[in-house]
Order: sequence, then structure tokens, then C-alpha cells
Amino acid sequence: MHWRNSSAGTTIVPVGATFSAIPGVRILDFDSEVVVFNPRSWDAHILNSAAEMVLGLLTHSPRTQHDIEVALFDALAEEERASASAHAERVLNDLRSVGLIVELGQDGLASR
Amino acid sequence: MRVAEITDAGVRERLAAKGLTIDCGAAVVRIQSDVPELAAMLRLLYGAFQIEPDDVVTDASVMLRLARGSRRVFRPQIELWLDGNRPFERYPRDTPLPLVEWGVNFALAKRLHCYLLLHSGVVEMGGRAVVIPAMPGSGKSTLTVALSQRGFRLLSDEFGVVRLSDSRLLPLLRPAALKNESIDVISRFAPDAILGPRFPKTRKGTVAHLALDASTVDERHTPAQPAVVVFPRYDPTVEFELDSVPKARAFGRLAVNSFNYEVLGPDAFDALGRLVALSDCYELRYSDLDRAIDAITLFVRRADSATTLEEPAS
Repeated sequence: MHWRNSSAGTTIVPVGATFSAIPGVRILDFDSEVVVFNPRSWDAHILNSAAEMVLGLLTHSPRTQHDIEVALFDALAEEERASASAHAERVLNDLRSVGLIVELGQDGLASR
Repeated sequence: MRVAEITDAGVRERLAAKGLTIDCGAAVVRIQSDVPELAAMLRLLYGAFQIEPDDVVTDASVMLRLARGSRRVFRPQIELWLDGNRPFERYPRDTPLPLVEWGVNFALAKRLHCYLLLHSGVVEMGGRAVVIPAMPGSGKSTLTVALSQRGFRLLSDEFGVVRLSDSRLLPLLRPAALKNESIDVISRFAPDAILGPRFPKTRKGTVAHLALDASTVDERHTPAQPAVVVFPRYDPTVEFELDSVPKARAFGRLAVNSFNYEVLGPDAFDALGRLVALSDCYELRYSDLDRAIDAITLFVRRADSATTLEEPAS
């Protein structure tokens, strides 16, 4: 769960869901693209640079959707930054749909 | 003793009794048969192979048997038995050799899971392997055989056998199967090459097999380090065209084209990843065989000067 300061100063509010890469993901880095092994399905996936960055973050530690948006915002070209939020959501959905990441519940366990 | 050192009758006797056991490199294969004409064909094509003792453990055992019953008079048929089972219907008797070869391939593809098996030709020069994956109509066998007639050592025309521990390519030597136009192409390209009989009307059209020479067979346990992957496509409208293939794409194409990637899972992923990382990957469209060979020779020499051979895994 990610928290951020509210305008009131000391109050903290939850923002977005938290995601984690599933354990055992293997990543092969081939210059401009990466190939990822999904240990659950045994499928291999070729990822673009945005998905690679997001998965890389999530293999290190769980991150919130907001974290991902911030990371993508920094990585995107200036003219693309306005769509960082939608971009993050799309990448997270794609990674989740192929089973490479899971959303964590408040207890820190995978919820879906 | 090499197969060619015994007579046709001797081969026939062995085939009818305990079988002809052949060490193909990455696998040992046993062939049994009571089809009399098969002996001379096998002797011609497997002549350079050593005959292994009858008690050697085999990776695949193939038996081709004359079918019994009344149809044998009017429309003779043969049965293919693999490791003691007959998984397929009977076949017409007139294609015994292609059936044995296909049966061995089928058995190995189903069983040899201690290696990653790519559907590809493989040749080697200076310890560097060139992997030539097959796509339908790609001209894989033509190019693989042509390279083997121009200074490259043949490792296989059908199986890219990848050792899981270090991704080295192992020979799996069998007579190379040429189909349709490629038979004449190779006959013109290498007039001294020894080809077996032509079998028309197989499921893949006309098929003929290339016999391997003794020096190639004697190197059947010498692996090679992956250096070049070439996705070929024979295209009569293009003399020669070459493009680099991004490694991630090459990985995907090789994985899809593997016989057992999905069986091996993470081990296959690691082995194939290492193979691709060590290789330069290209797509080649060609109709000029000589230019294709020159280009591949250049790639191998370039790889030779760019990297040192890695020590193989123990």
C-alpha cells in the first residue's frame, strides 16, 4: 500500500494498488528488448522497454501504481509524460494478464 | 567396425536379428527390420558409422516390419514400430528408408529431453556453430548440406541439439534428407556427394538422403560453441538479401521452432538464452547458394575474431 501526504499535512491516504512480480521470474536482457520467463506458465514473453522497467522494479520489491507512474513519468519523453498514468495502468494490466505480476492485498499477500 | 565393412547380407542379418546399433553422437539408435531391400540402402547411407555392440543402451529403437495378412500380396505394406509400440497405421512398402529415418526422428524428438532440441540444421567451422532453424519452405536442408560440402562440418540437418549445461551444439548425425528440387540442386552443387535412392510420393514429395563421410562421423562427439543463427528462406526472386534479427526476436523464433522447449521450461529458457546471447542472428533470403555460403563463412570468421571460445562446462 502506498501512502502520500494529504494537503492537511499530517494525514496520509492510500493511493492505488500494490503490485509485485511473481517469484522465479527470469529476465534475459538483449539490448533493446528483454525476454522474460514466466515460472508458472513456462511461457516466454518479449517485453518492450516500459514493461521491462516496470517488471524490473517489481522484481526488486512491491510497488504501488503511483510508484510505477512516477517511475514511468521520469523515463518518458517530455511530450509523453501527460499520459504516464494511463501508460502505467496499461503496462500493469498487461503484465498482470500474462501472470508476471500480482496485485497484493493489504496483508501483503497476492490478492489476484 | 564401420557399417560399410560388412556386406549387404551381413547388414540384412543384423537388421533381422538384434538390429543395427549406431552411435549418432548425441544419441544411440537401433534399427531392426525384415524388409530385405533396406539393408543395401542403410549400408550406403550409414556406411561410415561404427556398428555398436548389441547390448549398448539406445535412445531410440525403430523397427520396420513387413505387414502380415492378405494385403501383403496385392498391396504390400510395412509397419513402423517405435520402442516396441506401433503408433501409426501401416504404410506402403515402397518407402522403407524414408520411413525409418522419419521414425528415428520422431522417436528422438519425443524422447531426447536431456537436451534442448531445435528444429534446425547445424554446421561448424573452427569450433563455431551455425544454427540454421527450419521454417516451412526455408531451404534449411539445402543450405545445411551445401555448407557441409564447402568446408563446414555437419552436426545435423534436422536437430539442433543444445547441451543444457553450456548451450554447446552437439552432433546428431544422420543421413541428411533432401526433398524435391533440393536433390538436384545439391547434385549439381556437389557432384561427388553420395546420395541414396530417390523416393517419390512420400508425404513430403520426393526424398533422397545424403551419405556422410567418415571424418564427419568420427567427429560425432565433438561439440561446437554457438556463434551464428541464420534464418534462411530460399526465394527464387531474390539473389541475396540479409538482415540482422534482434536477439529477443531470434529467441522467440527458436523457442517456437523447438521440439521440446515446453517440456524443459526453465532449463530450455536458460540454454536458449545463452545460445542467443553468444550468437549473431540474421535472416537470409537467397537463391544464390554460393553467395549465401560466402556470407555465412564471413559471419563465422567474424565471430572467430571477435570472441574467444569458452571453456565447455564439465
